[in-house]
Amino acid sequence: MPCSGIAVANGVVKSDVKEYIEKFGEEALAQLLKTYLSGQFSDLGEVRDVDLIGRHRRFQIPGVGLEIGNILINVNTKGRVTVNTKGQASYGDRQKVREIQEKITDALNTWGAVARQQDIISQIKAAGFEVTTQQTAHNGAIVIDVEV
Amino acid sequence: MKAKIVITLDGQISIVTQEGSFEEGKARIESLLAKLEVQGININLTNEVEQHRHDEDGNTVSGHVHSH
Repeated sequence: MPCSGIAVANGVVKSDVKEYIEKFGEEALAQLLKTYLSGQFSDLGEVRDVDLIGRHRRFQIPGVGLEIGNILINVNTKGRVTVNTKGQASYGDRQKVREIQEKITDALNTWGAVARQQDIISQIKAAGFEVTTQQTAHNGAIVIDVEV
Repeated sequence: MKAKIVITLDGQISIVTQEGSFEEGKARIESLLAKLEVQGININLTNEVEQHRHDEDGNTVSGHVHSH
């Protein structure tokens, strides 16, 4: 069967997903995290905003501060994720802390990657190319048809 | 000229023209990449733009999209 592909280019986008996470801003990042954590860890209770204060109450820790159950979460727009208990660890907390940290890190990477995909498509359109169809594959890849 | 573009979550991108000659397709792809670079999207090509071939000779183009 003949193939309709004539010229092929394969490459890698240079920009890092962290650049896109940074562009979210703290407010949007907080909303994303609250929605995500409420869905993933509903067994731990409500997700609340908290001001995280550094040691000896000398400074406020920058980034998004959240609390769920007895677990504190700090995420900044550079993609740094800190999760711990409030010094009152119970049996199983260590595993839960690790699970939350890993899931948030994965979620940040996915959100940044999706934002990067959307940015590329936006820039293709902004460069004057018509995108006629857009689909998302099961693995998260976006497939578009473009008039080049 | 129609082209299919695949953008994966890990930042790989594949561009395949669907019609016309190889030379024309190569020129269109290079033009697209140049315009994207102006727009701030830099893409490191793993190879030069190449002519499509099937995998009978063992050469695989990763992320390649077939439309048939």
